[in-house]
Amino acid sequence: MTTQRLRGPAEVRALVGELCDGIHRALAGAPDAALVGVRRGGIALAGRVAADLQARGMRIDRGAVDIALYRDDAHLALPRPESGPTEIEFPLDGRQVVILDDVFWTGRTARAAMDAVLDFGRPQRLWLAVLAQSPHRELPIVPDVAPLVVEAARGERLELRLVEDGHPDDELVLVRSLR
Amino acid sequence: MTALAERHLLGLEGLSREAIEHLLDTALTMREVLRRSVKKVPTLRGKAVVNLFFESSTRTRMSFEVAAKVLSADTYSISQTGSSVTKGETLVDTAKNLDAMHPDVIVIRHASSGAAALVSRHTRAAVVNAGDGQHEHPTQGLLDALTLRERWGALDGKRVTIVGDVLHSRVARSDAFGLTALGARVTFCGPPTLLPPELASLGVTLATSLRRAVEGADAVMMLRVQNERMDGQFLPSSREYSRTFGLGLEQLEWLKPDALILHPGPVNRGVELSPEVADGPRSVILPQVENGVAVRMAVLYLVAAGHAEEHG
Repeated sequence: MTTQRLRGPAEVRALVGELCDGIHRALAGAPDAALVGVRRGGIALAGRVAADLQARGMRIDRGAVDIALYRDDAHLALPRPESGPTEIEFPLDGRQVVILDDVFWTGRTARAAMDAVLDFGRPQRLWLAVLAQSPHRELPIVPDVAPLVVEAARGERLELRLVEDGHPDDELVLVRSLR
Repeated sequence: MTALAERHLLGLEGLSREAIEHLLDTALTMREVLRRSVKKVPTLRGKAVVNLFFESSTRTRMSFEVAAKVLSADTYSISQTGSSVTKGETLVDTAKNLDAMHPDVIVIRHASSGAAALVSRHTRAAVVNAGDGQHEHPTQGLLDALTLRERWGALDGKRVTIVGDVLHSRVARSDAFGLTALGARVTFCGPPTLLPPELASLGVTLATSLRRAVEGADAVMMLRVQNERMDGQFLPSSREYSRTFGLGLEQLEWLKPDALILHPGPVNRGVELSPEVADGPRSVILPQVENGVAVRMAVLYLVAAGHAEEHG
């Protein structure tokens, strides 16, 4: 397995800023909105985005969703549930809700996250925001906000590493598995 | 990816601490689903779970059924009455015939020790032991471990005393395996007729004095004493048993102030537990029941995964 740094700390900060700008534009006019991070990559990111939006005067509820129980490959092999349970302790009905993940790759995680969130209520509008996306979509789903597009080959994956998760620096890396 | 080395869950004996912790962690994720207003996730959609109960059961059977349904599996229930078992069909034949209907998981309770293992050799389905004779009741051991772990954070060094007919109890055996694997020190307490020295080979301490066994314990699990044992061979009478090994308000004084009281149910009120203790502030009997569903969801999830991997 090899890793290649695509973006360093300053660039990641700038990308998070763009992500927040994009979400702020999308939510323009919504008096209060909810932000749901996808475990695990979207959790720390959701913390930063929520802080940014609150600094801009928005009221934001923040939650977390674990998509393991909603995956579409249960008949192949079920994954270990991620680091923690789903936590959505506020109503979603009639609200603007943003699902936030670090990376959009095939769209399967996004599909699962949408199903999971919709089990908690009926938002007026559901948005999908990610820091980076790749061109390997396997489902007809496109993120609403995605400041960075990464050209990557199959067998490669993107990882956003943030200091909140115990990494020494913020960085976006491309991971190649050697076969 | 599954924590279980085999794709069945026949007992807790031999399971590693890591495997048990993984099951308990998974159960916490499951419990969150159980507490939602919409209690349904699509995880086991299209999977068939057969509940094969040859012994009467309310809690365990309902618990497995709820667990399977919340995970969207289809459930089928077979009980001894009203099935071909009353016509003399052997367990192996039952297993083979069920297998021909392609279930993914068979949950079995049976009066004979080893019944679950026997069925597992005659089906392609994953088999979950819901209690086999005097052998094991692994999901009970797991739900007890979960109930204690979440109150204590960890079981390391904690003292758990199990009181009652430990000789014939599959719950006591599964608890002994599960709790000691997590670092707890387990004591079995009961009358000498029900406490042969061989039991110490389970890694537990044996005690015939209730007072000595519960003093200093962090948790006390009271077992139900089956009426058929009260025939004088093992126990003189239920009144005598209650006086010597029952837990009432008076005996509660012997315990540490924060010691927890567990019971696998159903409670014989006034025999092993007085109503005041069963319903008192230290009792975690109802949290045990909720955790039972969560643990069974986790087990169904993990064994169904193993099954899927094998068939690719």
